Amino acid sequence: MELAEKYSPQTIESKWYDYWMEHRMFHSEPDHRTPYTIVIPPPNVTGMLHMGHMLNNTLQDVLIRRARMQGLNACWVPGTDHASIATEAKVVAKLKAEGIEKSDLTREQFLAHAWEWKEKHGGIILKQLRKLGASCDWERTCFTMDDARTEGVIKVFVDLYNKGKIYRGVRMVNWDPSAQTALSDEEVIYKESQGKFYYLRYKVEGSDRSLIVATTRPETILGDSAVCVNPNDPRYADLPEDARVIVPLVGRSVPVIRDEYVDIEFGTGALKVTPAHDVNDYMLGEKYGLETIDIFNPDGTINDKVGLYVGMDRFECRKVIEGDLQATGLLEKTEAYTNNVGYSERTGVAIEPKLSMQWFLSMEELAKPATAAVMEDVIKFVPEKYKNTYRHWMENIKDWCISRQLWWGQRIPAWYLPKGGFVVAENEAEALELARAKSGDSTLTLADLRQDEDVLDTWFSSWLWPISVFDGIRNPDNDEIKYYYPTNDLVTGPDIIFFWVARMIMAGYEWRGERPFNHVYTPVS
Amino acid sequence: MSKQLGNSPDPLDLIAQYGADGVRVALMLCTSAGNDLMFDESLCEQGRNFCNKIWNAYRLLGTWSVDEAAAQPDHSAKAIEWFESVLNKATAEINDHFGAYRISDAMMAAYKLFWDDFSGWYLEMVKPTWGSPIDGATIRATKRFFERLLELLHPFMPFVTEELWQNIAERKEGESIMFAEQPTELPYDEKMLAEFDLAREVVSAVRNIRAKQNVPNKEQVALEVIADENYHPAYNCVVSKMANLSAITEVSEKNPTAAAFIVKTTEYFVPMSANINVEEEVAKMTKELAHYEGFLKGVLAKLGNERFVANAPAAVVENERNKQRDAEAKIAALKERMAALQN
Repeated sequence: MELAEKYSPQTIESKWYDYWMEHRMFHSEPDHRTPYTIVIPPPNVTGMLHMGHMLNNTLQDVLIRRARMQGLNACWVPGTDHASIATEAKVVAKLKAEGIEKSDLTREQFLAHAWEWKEKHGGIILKQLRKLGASCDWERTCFTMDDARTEGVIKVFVDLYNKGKIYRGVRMVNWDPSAQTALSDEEVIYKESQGKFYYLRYKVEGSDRSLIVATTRPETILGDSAVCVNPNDPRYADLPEDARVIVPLVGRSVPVIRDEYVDIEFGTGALKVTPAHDVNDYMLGEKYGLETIDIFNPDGTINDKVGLYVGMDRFECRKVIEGDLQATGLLEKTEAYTNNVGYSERTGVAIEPKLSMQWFLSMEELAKPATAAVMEDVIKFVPEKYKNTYRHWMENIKDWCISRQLWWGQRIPAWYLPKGGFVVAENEAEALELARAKSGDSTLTLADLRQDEDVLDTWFSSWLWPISVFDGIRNPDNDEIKYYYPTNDLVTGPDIIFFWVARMIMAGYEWRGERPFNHVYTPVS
Repeated sequence: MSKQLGNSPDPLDLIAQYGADGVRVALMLCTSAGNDLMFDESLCEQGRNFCNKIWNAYRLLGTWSVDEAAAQPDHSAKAIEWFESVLNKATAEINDHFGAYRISDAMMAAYKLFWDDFSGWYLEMVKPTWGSPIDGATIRATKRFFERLLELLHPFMPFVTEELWQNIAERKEGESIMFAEQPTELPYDEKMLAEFDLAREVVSAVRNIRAKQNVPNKEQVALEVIADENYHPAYNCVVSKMANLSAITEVSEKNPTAAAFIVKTTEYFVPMSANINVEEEVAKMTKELAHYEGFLKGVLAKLGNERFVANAPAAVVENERNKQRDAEAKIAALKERMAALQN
């Protein structure tokens, strides 16, 4: 073979990649050799290659090529993530540009658009990885929402529900008014924001006295159910036990409650209590049996519960209400204030704490073996520095809000019965059977059941990835899962250790009884 | 990571411009310093230059005519023995880096091995003189080394290594460097490597003298040595070739007129009179001497200023003192050498 005089990467790179593909040199099958397995951190299906992907995938390719040259049976499984919220947001934006609102479409119509978008843009990133020379076993390419992976997710949901780990409940969630869905705590990014402290005047009923209450969100007075002071605060010692105050502008009479939760040193020592829109207030509300008044529509505009400012955006309302308070002499003063405000990782809008009915996964038991595995070096972190962060997070783990008010994703396999209650099942036929048994009504048909509208958090499918790519959820005893699992190295960014790595470890112990990988390599911090 | 790299150039543009191998090398280079990712497009240039370096080194082998029957020169036999050890040691080092996930370090080790040891030293040692053929044993060993280097580099730069690996020997359809099995542990001789390093230092020192004294590389010089335990004549054949020496002679006395240097504890001398014009040299040195004396005067004036010494930061004062010492040493050396030349 004649060698060109000048080095020309354009000529040789495509030639050899084609040669490798033609001879199926990246393909792996179980055999007598020792396996060496890497599962790719699946990029968003409609994403584009950026330098971070380049680095991580180059490292994975270096490891896999080296393993192959050491005589190991190297298998690098590629794939993509359906990226529920990110993809849905892109499809909504694309439809909007074409003059179509999501709200004008049925679920089926919207999903048809989404699949079309996925077929058109999906997998570009995998083609880009070929340019880089990535020696993935392309014949094994998976998608977190393909049939095999979806069946696995549903099976896992049902399994966890039957084990009593999944429950439904009204909780304060992080609401994204732009995507109009709940988010997990990890999807909220806190940033310092410049705001104001508004000192509002609450008149004490039957007296000339007022309580001055400081708040950063005056628009939420529409949802006030009480004012709370510390019982040890001498400033309020003379207030009668049953004192009530009038919420400014709204005119609602609410009780003054006393709880040591209020910090005497902070502000005026008097706190407005809005159980529907603040996590701490919600807890006070639960404790004192206060009314919960949700004042927002799902898109962050004011609803018609109170009859004031109806339809106005929350930030616009804040401005208008400031003027109205001023005009009525109910605004004592304002002060500049810097506070931490949570923003949606995906859409960038300010999160609204909101009470809603969601599905939760109880995490405490799942976290135990996963914490031990890392602490006892059964799974090694490279570098080790993330070990302690990991432990801290795992020891303070909260239940995982797994439902999302979206359409692009795995629909929650719960069906509501006409006379109340619900059943959880792997498919409609099974659901009907369970529903008939539960209701005692053998005449029930599928048409009588209503499936939950929500989908599952994307991480609820990607946490199964090292198992699901080998079909180990549906067929736990198949030869491939037995051969390739546990995988060897996971190469990923430290920013998703909790979103993804920790949850994969939990899933690994829950459904395989062992670690999903030996090493977690996070090259860049 | 994605956030830190958010404003980086489009990866596909980089690949189109520099080649995937070059970009892969760049990505390894930018993480080698530690944890912070400092990506710079010039690293891609460095990556592509490395591909070019490998390509051109390979093509160089092809330009040599081969005489199977020719005897292998001593310096080539020594060079082969040495590089075998260098390669085996580097392989062990690279394995060690991989074991600890120091992947950038592994690549840097392979990069230096190719660029410095193989290309900079080994190929120079075995290179036949212009127009003469290379012997069969040496070219075979060299190709074997090249093949092993390609295999070491393959995980980092898969394409260029495959292209050359397919070319360096007859390959069957369906064969690939991807499955060339890697040796894990091979022996190397630490003692020999250490001794050879001293020989390389001697070569570098002679080259320095050539540069300073304006003696062209083509012109042979002699080397004298006061032998001691750090002098290993076994490598003289290599030193002679690399430094273009007429002879290496063991002497017992210092040569005051020669350019001298020390490697570890061994004193070496390159007699200069044969190669230089005394008058020109003395004139050059007189000028140099005047320059250093003027420089020293300035430094001494500064150090004589009490206010400067009292108020300037200690490090600044110390720097001036260093300048003084250096200048004084230079002046003494120049005077000694001028006196010797003029005698």
